[in-house]
Amino acid sequence: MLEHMYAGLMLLMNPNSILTIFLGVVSGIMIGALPGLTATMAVALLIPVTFGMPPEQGLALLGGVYSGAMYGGSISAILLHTPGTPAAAATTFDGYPMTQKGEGGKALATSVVASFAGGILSTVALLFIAPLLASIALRFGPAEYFLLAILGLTTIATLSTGNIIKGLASGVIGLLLATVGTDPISGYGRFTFGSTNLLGGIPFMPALIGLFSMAQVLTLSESEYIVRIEKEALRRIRHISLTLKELKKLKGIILSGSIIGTIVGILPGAGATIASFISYNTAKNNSPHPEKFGTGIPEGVAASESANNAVVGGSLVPLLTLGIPGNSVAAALLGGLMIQGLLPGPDLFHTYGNITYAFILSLFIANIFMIMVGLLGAPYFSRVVSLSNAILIPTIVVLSIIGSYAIRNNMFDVWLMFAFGIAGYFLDKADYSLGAIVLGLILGPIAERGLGRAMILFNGNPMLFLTRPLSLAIIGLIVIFMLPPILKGKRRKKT
Amino acid sequence: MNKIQIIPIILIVISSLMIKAALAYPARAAFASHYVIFWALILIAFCIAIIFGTKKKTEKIKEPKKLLFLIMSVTLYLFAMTYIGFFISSAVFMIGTMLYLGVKNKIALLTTTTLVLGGIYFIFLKFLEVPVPSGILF
Repeated sequence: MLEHMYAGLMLLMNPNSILTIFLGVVSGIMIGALPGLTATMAVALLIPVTFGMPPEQGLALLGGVYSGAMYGGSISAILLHTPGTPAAAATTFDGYPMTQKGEGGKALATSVVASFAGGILSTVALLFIAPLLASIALRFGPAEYFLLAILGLTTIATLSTGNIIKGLASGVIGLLLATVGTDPISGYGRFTFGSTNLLGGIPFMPALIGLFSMAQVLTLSESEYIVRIEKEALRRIRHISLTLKELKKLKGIILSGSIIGTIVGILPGAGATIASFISYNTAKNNSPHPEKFGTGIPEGVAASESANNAVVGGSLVPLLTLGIPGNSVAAALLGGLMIQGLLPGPDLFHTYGNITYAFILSLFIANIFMIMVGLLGAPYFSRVVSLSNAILIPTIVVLSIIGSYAIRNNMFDVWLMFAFGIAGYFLDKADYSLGAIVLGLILGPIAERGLGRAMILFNGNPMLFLTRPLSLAIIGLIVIFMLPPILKGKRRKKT
Repeated sequence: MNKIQIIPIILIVISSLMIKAALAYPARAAFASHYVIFWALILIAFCIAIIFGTKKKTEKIKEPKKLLFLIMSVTLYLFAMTYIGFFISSAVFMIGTMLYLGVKNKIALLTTTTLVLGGIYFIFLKFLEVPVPSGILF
């Protein structure tokens, strides 16, 4: 491990890599600050940029974008009462009241410091937990991979904030879309309509870009501006700083938020939005003055922001070790890994150890850039929000086309991306989960291959799933995650 | 049923067609057939639950004309791209879309188009050597 870490560090220690991480962080913050443009979109749109780069640089850029976008979401949440990314929704509760009180600078400083701490702590966890999980994953058989895919889909549906049945249905839509192409067990072609472009299945990146970029473009057409910037709010921000005394008061909340964010991030399917709400509520419940939460206190901002940035490292644990993305941003990162010829799983830590550790270590550098850029440039980034949709829309369309074309140099993929964009727009309007569809599409082949091979191994007897301790443990986790929504439903019926 | 919900109905139709296709798979693909049928049935069950159980109304399309314009213009743009290439079609699409969406400032129109397409040319094509779609003519 140390050998790979050292080699990984050496891969990063050159001006090109450092500049790439810096540019990734800045782009991430800018896209993250724009309400409606998510971290997933930021990563998906910038994947084509990584094509011509060495793998470690390409992944470092995407890691920087991910970290930057997670923090960037808080800028508009604090200054404009509009979260830049869904993950920053809980930041508005105290961030915006702080701006109204003339403490916008302090709120921004709290946000960037908490984001930095969350990001660093979760990267430390990633550095030490991922290799351990990778060595356990070596013992996983097809049965466990099938169950892990089901666990991922169960958690995204049950932990999502929207309609649970629509969340579950979205996951199944993804699983069915994943059946397009050659069947992994018998090699029989399904739903290809005679097109060779679909033999390998629905290409995942065009689908992702369509669902997260093109669908968003269609939504943006509904308004002239994402949000009208309040010039007065910007004028009030002078000093983006925190005193050591204020920081000491927040350290407990930041630590607990970072732990919550890392754990929630590791759970396949759960995301940064859930993590920040759990962290905010935990901080509120444990506070001697819970009534002050929501009135504009730094504790609220710190709780939410430490957790959503801690999800970055956490969500990479299942992605790098098992090939199962923790959330939709990690799903986009999976595309970035695959484009570089890296197949996530235990092998990543052995065969491609140098590149994998370079990627993990790049997240430390990204967080350092994030705090520097955040403290110095937050008010300037907030001005990005004033960009008119009339300019954003054609720009994003053009970038989405390049992103979907560049993967296979194929116009079919561009049309597919557009079709997914239109479908995604209407599904989103009807409250279906686009994240669950993408996860279903990614986890579908893992689930089908795992189930098919397990059934061959078990001679068609599904009861043998219950004889394997690792399978039983995962089944236990699926049951645990299914319980809260079932109990909630029963409680609702009683009332 | 609170309101006719078009999406779950479409999903039920697609799932049924998938089941019909899967039933015709040869014997060697029996697992593939069962797998598709299983998930399609689950989706149908969820869709029925959505049709009869969802109270929340679907969000309305606020600007249907703009949405239709955007879908049509992107369709035309993609068709044009295969004939006149990426850069010319993109320039026409960007200027046309910005004009339709209300950008009146000519300098903003030209600057945005030049910056975006120039950036793509130098960063993607020259520096990173990432290909862009090419047409029959260019």
